[in-house]
Amino acid sequence: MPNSDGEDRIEPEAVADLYRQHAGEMRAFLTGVLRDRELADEVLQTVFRKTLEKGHTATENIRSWLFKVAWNEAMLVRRVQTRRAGGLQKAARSRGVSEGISEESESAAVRQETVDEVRRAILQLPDEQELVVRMRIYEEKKFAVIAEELGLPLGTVLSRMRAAMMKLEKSLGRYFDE
Amino acid sequence: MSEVMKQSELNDEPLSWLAFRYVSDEMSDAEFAAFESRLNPDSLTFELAACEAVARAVQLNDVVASASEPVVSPAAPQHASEETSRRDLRARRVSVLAASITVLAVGWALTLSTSVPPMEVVDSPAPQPVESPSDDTTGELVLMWAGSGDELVSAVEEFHVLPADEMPEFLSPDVPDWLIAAVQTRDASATSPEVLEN
Repeated sequence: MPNSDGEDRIEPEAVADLYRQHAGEMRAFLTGVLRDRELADEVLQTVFRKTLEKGHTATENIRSWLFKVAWNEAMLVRRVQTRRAGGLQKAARSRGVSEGISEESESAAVRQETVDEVRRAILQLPDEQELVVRMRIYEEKKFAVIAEELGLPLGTVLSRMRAAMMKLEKSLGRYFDE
Repeated sequence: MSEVMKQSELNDEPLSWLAFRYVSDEMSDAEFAAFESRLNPDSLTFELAACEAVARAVQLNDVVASASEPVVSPAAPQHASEETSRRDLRARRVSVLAASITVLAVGWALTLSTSVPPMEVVDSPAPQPVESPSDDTTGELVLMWAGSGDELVSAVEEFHVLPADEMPEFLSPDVPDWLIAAVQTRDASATSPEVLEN
């Protein structure tokens, strides 16, 4: 539909479709960059407003364009923050209930199934890798602290975590593959 | 994900691992800056795959964290205190129940041993005698009380399904209200000429 400038904007329905397809990945990207889930959600809204207004000017793949807009918007926000905002906190701790997955969109049974599958994947890891994953992700300990507590060289802890994450990414990939 | 990402994994460290370290803030300042230059679209070293890897690292972290069990070391004292207070509450309930039964039993014994003279005031309604619980009823009450407490506690303990707000959000992104409104506004403006024509 031509706007007041005579340009053909992306139809709102098409933007809604783009949102359904890419919002999860963009939100995750913004969370990784900003380390703040609420802020990431705010910036995500800005990204898709911009898509509505300027998406038609994209000269490349729209997903690539979305990542670029997301980065630029995140940097605008980060300029008023400290440069490094610390690591990613445990999932969803700071998120409001209304912003999470609603009961309608995912039943408790499906959630339980996901949790069970993740737990099975973790249990399939070798004990020493499982321990590092639990300490890093559940107890939110830095690798240096884990190394100290376990009396291991930092490199050993890092390689165990790395091996574990590779395996988990493979076994749980279906939860975030496009 | 994309083939670009697989090609990037030919580097010394897999991109996914670098991304995980990035989102976990487990990088030196130099590594951090170098990695961010791969995310910056204005940089010559920009890589779409790096952006994808960051998103994927957050999603993987979230999905793993969604299955978190009670944290052992830092939360243990809190868990213990919750157990203690739960036990205290149950003990208090039993004490109150025992005291109530004693009062009722004493009252019952007094009504049996004392003859009450007939009331002389006619206007006021006659007081209704209070039925004392039989031993069986008292036993049932005790069982019900203790039983309901245990059932409540066990129900709370067994209801260990992860709350909705702790699930990874990327599993189901909802279209925001403002976008739905934009679609509706567009639909309304598209249909309005027809309405006018009719």
